[in-house]
Amino acid sequence: MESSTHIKNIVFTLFVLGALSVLIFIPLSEAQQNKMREVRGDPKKGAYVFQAAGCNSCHMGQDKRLKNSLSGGEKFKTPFGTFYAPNVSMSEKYGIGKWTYSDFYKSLKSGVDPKGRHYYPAFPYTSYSKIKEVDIADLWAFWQTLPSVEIPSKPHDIRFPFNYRWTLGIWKTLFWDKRYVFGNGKARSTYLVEALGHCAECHTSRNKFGALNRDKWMRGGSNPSGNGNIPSIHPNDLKWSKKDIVEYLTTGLTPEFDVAGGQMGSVIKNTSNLSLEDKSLIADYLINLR
Amino acid sequence: MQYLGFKILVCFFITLSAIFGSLAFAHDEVEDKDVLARMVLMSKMAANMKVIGRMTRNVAEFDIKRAEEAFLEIARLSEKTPDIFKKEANDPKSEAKAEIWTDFDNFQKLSESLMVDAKTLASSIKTSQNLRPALVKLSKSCKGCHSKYRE
Repeated sequence: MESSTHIKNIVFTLFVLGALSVLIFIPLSEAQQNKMREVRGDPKKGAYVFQAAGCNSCHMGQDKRLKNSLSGGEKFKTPFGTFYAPNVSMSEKYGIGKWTYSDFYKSLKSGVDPKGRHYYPAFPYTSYSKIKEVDIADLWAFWQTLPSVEIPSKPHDIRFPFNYRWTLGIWKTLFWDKRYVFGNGKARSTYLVEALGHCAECHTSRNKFGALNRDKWMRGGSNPSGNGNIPSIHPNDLKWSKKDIVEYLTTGLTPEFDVAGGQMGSVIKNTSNLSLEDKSLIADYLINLR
Repeated sequence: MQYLGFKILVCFFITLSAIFGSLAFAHDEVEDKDVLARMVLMSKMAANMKVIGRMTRNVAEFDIKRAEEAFLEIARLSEKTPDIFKKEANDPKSEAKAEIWTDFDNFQKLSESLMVDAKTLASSIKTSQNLRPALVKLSKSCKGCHSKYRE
């Protein structure tokens, strides 16, 4: 009898938390402010942010001939089901062509769509929420120059109860830790790795609820888009020099002259276009991580 | 003189057994012979990349003949790649994605493209300055295939 009351209490608490989290994670006033004012980003700078954030690594369409075709389709198998990267091209019908800057901002900062529905954290908003507003404005300015691709998104194939998006409100309340792990966002090295580069999303293992194990930061995790594991890039395990890391981010060549594969191949495509200074800062972070 | 010849022979066999020993060690847990053949092929490619790479990093002295031969060997190995990968086989140690066999025509096209690139690059090496850009170009070609078909 007592235990059934206990379960009821837990269910009720989770429900209330879920409802509250909807309110907590949609910064309405901020979003409204953005809607009101005209945001003028710089598309040139946005192109750089786009590379650093690796948006196309997941959202790139299957037809590689079309440059920056963001029609999605990349598959991510997880214990919760299979996610498919959606079409985020400028298509009004299938993509985000009808979005305002405010919608774009909210998706990154709060992990919600224009109707306020929660996104699954397969979209790494837990990292992207740390992106500076000026970079988001530049990114949006660039995004609007990208082609519209008329291909519908593939629906996710998620198992019960995770197929109910409101449950993500609870997830956000319990697991979305907005703090930086190593250093703070004032250091560009941390900003590049933990916010834009979102390296931890693959290189850190997750708990049974799909949240990053912050105490095992960058120590490797299971491969979200295939078999096997993503290697640890923690300095206790990765014994590469700064030069080795910069070389890898530039050419994809390891110190043993193996060539990057899988999702990392697409990541290198982006990092190879970053400035030498930024690649060195990423290397600094990885070497000094404790 | 005879003693020197003997020393060279011993060194040769030690090097040979080290190479094959390390290949065997790296793949000793792979049971499927087709998967093993694929892994050995890729290891040979990597060994040739290393020959070129060591010269670009000044770890080894620039040797135009050795560099050219390494590029040509990569071309020969990439020509063999589609045949060696033709049979769909799997092993827990394998890093090959299933897409290789669902998209085999493209896999074959990329292997051919690597072969052409490696042959072209072999003849482009005139000085040590040409080596790094050639290696970078070749690695892009490798990456094109690895991104799609390797875990």
